Amino acid sequence: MSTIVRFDNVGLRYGTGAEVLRDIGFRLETGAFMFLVGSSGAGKTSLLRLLYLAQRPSRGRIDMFGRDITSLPRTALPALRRRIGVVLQDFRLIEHLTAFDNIALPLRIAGVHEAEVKAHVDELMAWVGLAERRDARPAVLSGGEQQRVAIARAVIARPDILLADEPTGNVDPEMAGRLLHLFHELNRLGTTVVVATHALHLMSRVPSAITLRLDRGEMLDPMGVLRNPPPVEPAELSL
Amino acid sequence: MIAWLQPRAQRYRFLPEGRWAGGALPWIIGMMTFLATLALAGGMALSNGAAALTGGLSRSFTVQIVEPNPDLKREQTAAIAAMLRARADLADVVVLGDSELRALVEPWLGSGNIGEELPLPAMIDARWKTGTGDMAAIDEAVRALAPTARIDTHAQWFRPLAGVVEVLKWLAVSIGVLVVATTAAIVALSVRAALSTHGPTIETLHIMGAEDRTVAALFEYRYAIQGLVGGVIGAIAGLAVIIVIGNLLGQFGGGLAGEVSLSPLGWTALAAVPLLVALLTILTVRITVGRRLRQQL
Repeated sequence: MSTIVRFDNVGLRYGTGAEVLRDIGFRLETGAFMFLVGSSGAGKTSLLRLLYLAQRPSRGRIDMFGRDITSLPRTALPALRRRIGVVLQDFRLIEHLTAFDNIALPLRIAGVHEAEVKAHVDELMAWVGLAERRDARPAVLSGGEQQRVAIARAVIARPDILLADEPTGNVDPEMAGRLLHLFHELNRLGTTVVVATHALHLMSRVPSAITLRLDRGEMLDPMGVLRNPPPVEPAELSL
Repeated sequence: MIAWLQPRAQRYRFLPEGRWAGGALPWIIGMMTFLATLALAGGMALSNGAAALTGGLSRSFTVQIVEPNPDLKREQTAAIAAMLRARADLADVVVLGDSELRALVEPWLGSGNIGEELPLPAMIDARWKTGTGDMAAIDEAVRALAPTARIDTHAQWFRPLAGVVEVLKWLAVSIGVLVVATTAAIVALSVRAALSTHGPTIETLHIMGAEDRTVAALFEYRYAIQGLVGGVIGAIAGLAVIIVIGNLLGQFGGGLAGEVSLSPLGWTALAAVPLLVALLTILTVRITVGRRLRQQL
């Protein structure tokens, strides 16, 4: 099993403000399932921003897919981003696009043939219970439906890493269970999953998951399992 | 719109359609294109005029033979014409006929008031084949044949006018450059506003792995259409004005007014203005979007 994400002494500050993340160090193996937990303001969203390459760290080093992303030129980042699926807390659905077109975005950006796009999107929409809402725009979808569109969009391109920020926040318990089951299934197929959540009760549904606890920008890891991982040889980092 | 001309991202409507023509922008571009077309046409026409003044017209000179004795005047005229025609560096040596001389004087003395008894000088027009040759030698040779003869070089009359035309030409070029810069600035401001409006969508596209060129293509396509529409409107209006001015100048007949005109290449350049405006728009959009996107990760 290879390392897909590695943080070493990572710190993050926005502008000249105080550090919102301090001394973050952990390693994720390919196919791992990680819950990211912590109270509001703990730094979960900032950590996810680093993971989906919306931000570079202020200090430290981040390796993803075997590459040091802190020193990669920005022109190399889109290709890495296409290997990452993201479900954001505010969904970020594109208002003028239908549910179908929103879900199809990653495939179309990647240049997938339109017939293939249609087949994949239709299949996934049926799976998440949105087949009847194919042509609905986000404004007429309920919060739960919007969230399912966001999740379907994140997983449609079969990403290597799936990042989800409070993915079960706006859905009923039954749907929350289904979505978590979907993440678990993707994880069993080899996708590395990171879920930031407040819903601690959901964590028991994925017994194999590891947990990274954040508190005011620092890792709470009394067992020392995730912090300061042993050095990894460069060959070990490549996929 | 022809589908295959659209960038892939545009076909998928990653950005909202909005008004395809972009509201006021095509009209603003149209006005700028109108001004640019006039400046370009003015610059090219004046350039042709300046070339004529410093070229053909200023290479000409006229020999006036002022001799009261008609027989002697005829002899001197024939001798000077023969001498001039014998020179290899001169072309178009023309002795003006009696009717042509009377036509020159008529505007001042009135038609029918020029009798046979009015002594008119004989005149010979000649032109240097290239540049302006040795006028002193011509002067000496002419005076040897007709001591009272006088030579008028056209260059001495046209030199101040040529200076004015040259200044006007560069003024037109400067106006054209300013208009182009203003158009680019207006487009850049509009693109920046659009980038802010669509900021969240662009960020989402980025998160999903869209490359800068994909995002830039969305804007380039839209603004190219607007630039083309504005360019066509402005160029048509500009060409209409140029044709009207050309007709007005044509009423002056030949001379300098005839030289201040557009060559076929000039008309082709004016017809290409809408395309150039669209290209300018695309280039401005590409630079503006690229700069803004590079500020993000």
